[in-house]
Amino acid sequence: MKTKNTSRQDTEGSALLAALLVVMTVGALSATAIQMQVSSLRQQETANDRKRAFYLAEAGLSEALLSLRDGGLGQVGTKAMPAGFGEGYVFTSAVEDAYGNFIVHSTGIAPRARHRLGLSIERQVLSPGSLGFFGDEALTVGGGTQLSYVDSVRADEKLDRESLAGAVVGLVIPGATPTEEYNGTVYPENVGPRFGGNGTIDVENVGSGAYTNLQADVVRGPAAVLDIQLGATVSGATAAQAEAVVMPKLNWPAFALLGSVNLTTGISEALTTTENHYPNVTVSGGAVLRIVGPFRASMDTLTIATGATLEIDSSAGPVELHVSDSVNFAGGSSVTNVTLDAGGLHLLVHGDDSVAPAVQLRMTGTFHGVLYAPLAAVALPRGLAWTGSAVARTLDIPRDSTLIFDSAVISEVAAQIFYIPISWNLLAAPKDIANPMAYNPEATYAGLGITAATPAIAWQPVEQVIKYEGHDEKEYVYRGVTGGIDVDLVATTLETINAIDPRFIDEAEPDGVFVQR
Amino acid sequence: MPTPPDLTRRALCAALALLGPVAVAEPARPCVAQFAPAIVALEGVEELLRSDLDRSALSRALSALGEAALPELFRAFSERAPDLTAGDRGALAGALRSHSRERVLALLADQVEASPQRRSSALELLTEWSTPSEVELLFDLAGTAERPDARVLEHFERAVAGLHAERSEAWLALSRATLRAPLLVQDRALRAVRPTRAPHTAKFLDALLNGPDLLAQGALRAIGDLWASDPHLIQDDHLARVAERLERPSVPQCGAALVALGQAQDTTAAARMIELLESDTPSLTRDALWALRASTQMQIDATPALWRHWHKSSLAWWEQRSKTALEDLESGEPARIEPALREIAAQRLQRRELALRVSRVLEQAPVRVAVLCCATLSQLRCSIAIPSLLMSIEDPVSQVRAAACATLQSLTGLDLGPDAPARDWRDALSAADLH
Repeated sequence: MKTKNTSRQDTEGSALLAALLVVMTVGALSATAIQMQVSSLRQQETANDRKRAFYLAEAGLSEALLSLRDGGLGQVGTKAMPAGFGEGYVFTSAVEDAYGNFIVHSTGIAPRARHRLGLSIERQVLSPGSLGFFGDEALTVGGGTQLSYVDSVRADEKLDRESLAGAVVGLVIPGATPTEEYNGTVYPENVGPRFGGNGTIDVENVGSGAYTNLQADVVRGPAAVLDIQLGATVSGATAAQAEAVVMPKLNWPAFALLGSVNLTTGISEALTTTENHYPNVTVSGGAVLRIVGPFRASMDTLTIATGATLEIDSSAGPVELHVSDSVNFAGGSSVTNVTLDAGGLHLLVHGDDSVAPAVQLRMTGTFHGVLYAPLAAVALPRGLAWTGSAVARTLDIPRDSTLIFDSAVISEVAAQIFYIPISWNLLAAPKDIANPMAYNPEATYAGLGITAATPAIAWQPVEQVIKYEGHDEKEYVYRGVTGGIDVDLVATTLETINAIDPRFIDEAEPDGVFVQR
Repeated sequence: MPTPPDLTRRALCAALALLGPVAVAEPARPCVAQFAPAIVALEGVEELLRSDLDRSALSRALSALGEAALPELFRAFSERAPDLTAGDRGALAGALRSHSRERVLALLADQVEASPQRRSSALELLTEWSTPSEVELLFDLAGTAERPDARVLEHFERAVAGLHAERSEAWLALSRATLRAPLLVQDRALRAVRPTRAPHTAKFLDALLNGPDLLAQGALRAIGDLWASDPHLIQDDHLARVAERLERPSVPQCGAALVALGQAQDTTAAARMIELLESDTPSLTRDALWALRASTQMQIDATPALWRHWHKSSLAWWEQRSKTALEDLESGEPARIEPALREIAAQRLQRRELALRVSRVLEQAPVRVAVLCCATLSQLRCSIAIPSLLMSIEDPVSQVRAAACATLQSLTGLDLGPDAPARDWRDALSAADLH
């Protein structure tokens, strides 16, 4: 019995120990499981945040693209004050390369993750003048017409424009080839001498003297029917484009209303006050209306009577005339351009021919400029030497015309600008941003007691322009808020223009707002 | 007061006019012809033209005057053209043409040295020509002046357009005469022939390639249009001759050849086209890129290295795989045809030939293979397959009809709906100038 009792005493507490061990094991297992669960949860949250940051960065790219298309800079928020979006933040920075393309970096910020994406955006400028001599629905080139080319923009081919006055036949620059780049802007197509349309293009072969000679490319849509009569020479490419040729959309400017201008015989008057609307501008025989650029105006009608003169002086800047209803240059009238600069006059006719012909041209002498009448039927005057470009719904070029396409017509005046995304890529977020402990916009906003602006109202103004060389040894331009530039991108700063810089002020509007390009 | 000749003339004409159709009926003709010289001498033609006869009666009355009146009829037809109504001119023309063709041609040949007005009228009458000598006469009447009269050119073009010759000698004569003609006459000949789509047209245009630079340019443009509208007129020897133009120093001729080859969707000259991508002449670069894209239906940019890579790999396929793939395609065994079709669909070199081979299989294939053939043709994007697809549109099996319809839509850009019959497709294709 004793033994039995002793044995019992020996085993007393063993069950407790076992139970304790079991409890401890279960506890340890539970703790591990909980820890694993928490860890898994954290990992899941981090993964979600990574995705969130990625999507935020994508949203930033979209907002930056929208900003550029709306005339902004592609800068949404800043590193210090990012825009709030969803359950995170986003900011973008945009720089422009030497070709006018934009490179946008967008950083998405979620609580536990940051993501940065890059997007290259091509800036395409569709200039009314770039279409050359163009009839959207129909173009007829009369026999004997001579179309040549001058590139007065390029410094190495600067011409004495005096030589362009009058009927200059065969003014073809040897070796002159179309260039892609003008004033740092890439245009959607190679810009050179060109004529064409999207409908019928008829090139007659012979006029009263010479055979037709068009030193130009044909620009035509896929449905265009090109008929070149034998004997007519077209020196350039004739293949059709894959898509119809796009004509830039005209926007009617909202200018302050002034009275009509009616000049009678013997009176000369100069218009210099820019950005006004004149309902009717009429110049009677013997009178001279002088318009001094830079000048922009809109009008309902523009009438230059027989013996009257419209004189354009674009030596200080271009003249841009928007006409809603009709342009009538009577026989014996003249339109002179004292600078002989084809880019100095843009005559933009918004009207169509539904009530009366929107464009009637019977003036004499020479014309230097761009005529853009996308809804009107236009017949160029007979015997007039035309330097620049003429674009219309239908364009009729009379026999024996002398046309000179001047690259000076390629400009951003009345141009339609497209921002086309080219490619995007994943980028590593800089270390100072990648670490949530070091960079926490939420804490910043909480400390300031404000909420972050939404992306749509976080577009940034220009306070500073910095030209710099990147690590790829290419030049870039930053436009945005002071201190907003991503210093990691900059190898060498070439030039900095601040808001208080006099050059900056020169470019400013009267109210001090910097004019965005 | 009327003079005796007036009275005679009026009397004769009145008699003719009064009797009208009866007077010029066959039994009466010898009788009328007997009086014809007198009538003509008495300005009877003028009198008849002033009469109230309707067109057919006038025509018969004038015809009844016989061959003796031919010169006078032609004089009236030519010189009184501005004063006459269209009906009267038509009656004169009818009367002139009612005589033997030899006599009329002799009359017209007499006009070769005449005034532009007479030559123009002669050309107006010279219709439905068909022999080499008539071709020569056409060009003789057009003249050799560098700047022919506008009316002469206009009627010359119409006369050439009135071609009714099926015999190749006439076309050969037309080519030879065109090559010798002044530039503006060449232009009109080319313009007149261009709308016709016949094997002879292609031969005529082909012959013109041997002409001077400007003529060759025009011929190349016309050839391109012809091939684009009817790929069945494309022949390998013509393609080769057009491709030869890519070596010519004339930039416009080279450009026109590129456009023509692109319109033919032909890639046999792809290597040269790729070389031209690096041309110093920007217009040639642009035309070459367009031609390559049109021929291959690939939207690669103007980087020559990329095109070379494609060309090299495509040539390798043709050298190493094409024989087997084409044998499988034509084996008649669906198990071999299906993989062959998948392989062929990926090819872009010599699409036209591949599309033609697939089209032939389509015409006799079982349902599943026929559907796959349509899908392959859609990927090959070559309009030479259109006739076979039009046949498949009438297939009794709905899946084949649907596949053929979808392929036609993708090739032509036309959407006539899923149940449009072949007749509607033919009309729509004809309207869109796709044959």
